[in-house]
Amino acid sequence: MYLLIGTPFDVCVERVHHRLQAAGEEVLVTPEPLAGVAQVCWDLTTAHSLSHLRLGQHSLSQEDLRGVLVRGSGMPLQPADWDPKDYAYMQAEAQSALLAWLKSLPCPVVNPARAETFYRERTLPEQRVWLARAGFPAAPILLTNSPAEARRFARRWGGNLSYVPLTSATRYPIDTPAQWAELERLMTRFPLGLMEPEGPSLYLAWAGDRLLWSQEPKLGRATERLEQAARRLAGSLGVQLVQIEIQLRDGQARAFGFSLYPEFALYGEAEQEELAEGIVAALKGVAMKGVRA
Amino acid sequence: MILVCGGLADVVTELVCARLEALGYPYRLLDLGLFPEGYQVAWRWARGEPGGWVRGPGWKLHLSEVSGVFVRYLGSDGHAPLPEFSPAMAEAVIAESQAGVMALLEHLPVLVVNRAAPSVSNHSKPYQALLVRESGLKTPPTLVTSDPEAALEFYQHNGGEVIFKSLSGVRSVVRKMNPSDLERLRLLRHGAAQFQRYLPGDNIRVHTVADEIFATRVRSEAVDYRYARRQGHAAEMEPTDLPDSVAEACLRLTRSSGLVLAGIDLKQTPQDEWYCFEFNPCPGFAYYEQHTGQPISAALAELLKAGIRA
Repeated sequence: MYLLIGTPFDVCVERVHHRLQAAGEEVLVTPEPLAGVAQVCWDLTTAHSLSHLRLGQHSLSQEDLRGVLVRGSGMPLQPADWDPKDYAYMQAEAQSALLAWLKSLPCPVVNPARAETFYRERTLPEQRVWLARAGFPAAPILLTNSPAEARRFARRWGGNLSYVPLTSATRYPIDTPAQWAELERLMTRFPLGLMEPEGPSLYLAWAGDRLLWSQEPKLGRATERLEQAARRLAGSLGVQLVQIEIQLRDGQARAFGFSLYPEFALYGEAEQEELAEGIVAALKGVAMKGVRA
Repeated sequence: MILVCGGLADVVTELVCARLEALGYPYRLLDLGLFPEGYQVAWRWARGEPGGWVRGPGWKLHLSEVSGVFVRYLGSDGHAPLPEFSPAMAEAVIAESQAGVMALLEHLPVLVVNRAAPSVSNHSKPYQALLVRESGLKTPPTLVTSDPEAALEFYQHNGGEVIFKSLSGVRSVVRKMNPSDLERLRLLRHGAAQFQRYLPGDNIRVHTVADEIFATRVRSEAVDYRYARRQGHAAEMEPTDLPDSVAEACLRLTRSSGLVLAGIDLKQTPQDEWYCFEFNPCPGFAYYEQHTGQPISAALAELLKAGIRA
């Protein structure tokens, strides 16, 4: 049995589900494996770790699980009559149980269950460090509440840049006097994350043992260097699934950031199938060696 | 130069600053209870490394001058009010500002006590239990379940000597189950809870500071000695020694978890078995130092002064 944690509406889950079923494998999809109707029983001692899961009609011991794909947080869906504080507590409890249970499983878990990635999404400045160390060309990021530093930083891009809050995925272009005025007003309140102006994006995904582009890169020899860097990044992060956003500006490709949850909709049909195949290989444990750089 | 990031209202941060003062080791305080108010920063991430400067009240520090960093994140509760903002906006400003500090410290190429990434294991006690096992320490027999019948069976199997506590990092008082709690087991259908066999004996709190170990024996009748007074009990503390194998396992656990400073909760049973319950990457060691005089903050100060390149 393969367990896919997420919703059937996620294209990734859908395609992986389909591939596994086509190969005659049993598959179970659930957004909340340890909450809601699910019932878990996990016995942990110094000598052993044994868990058992009841999910609807299914009764599964840990030995029955051959691989787990994690595409959701596993948090319980909010019952209508719950106090928000109680629900927040139950969310924390469910996440805690899920992370630990995933780590305890003897089967492959994609991506591996680690607290540092389960609980924390790395901010863009941190991502740039990982990207640069993997060999990706990456532009600098500045965090400042000094307007003079911001202006100096923007000079290399003709006085333009992007404002990127660290706690959200939103990006704001700063390329007009009015936007600069607003930026400087905000800067009197708190430091702002500033980076290069946005260019067109393309995406490179590593799934299990294969690399896929969201579109033909047309980057000449740089393509191979970026692909090698992607392999190194997956290896250093210890993951089988990662997507890198590459931005093009003045004919140069630079890594923008990365996500451990590739967005299937960004890729063509054939690439989506390839990604799903790579994930299936990782779930079957045959793609683990590919993670090494 | 040492950089301390924390709030002066926090007793641990206050103790670290006081120790650095007493030892004459220069430091700068980035007061996270106020930050960014009163501070100016320009932090730049380029070529895989952060750098830049921070300007505080009457001083400016280039990050290249920093030998070591001690940090205790506060969250919005520990921050001074921001009356000029709506509550939601104030929370966002504080979160954004602290995210910046966190992003800086994650990859600053100096000693940082402790970085955020290895600290988040604290959000899951059973996850920590798995790390504890890997380090060679014993973990108490534990049941994580949402099945009332399984919980009842565990309770009976252990002769009613069972405690329960939260799974997550949300602070909870550890309580011993009593027969009246059995009625409430049906509530488990809402989500899993953690049950553990109650272990008699002395609590031993171990603080590891890089390679140094400070073990404190805590004698108390309370199940959770942190709340002994509230439960009508006392908690007596004294320095103690650990068997070599336990001390080595504690250091292994700290290192393998990517931490420099940790507070490790052990129990020594009357049969001289040593169990580990959990470890805290942001330990409130001031409480133990004040009761025993163990020089934990001094060891930390020496470490921060010496620094190491990460």
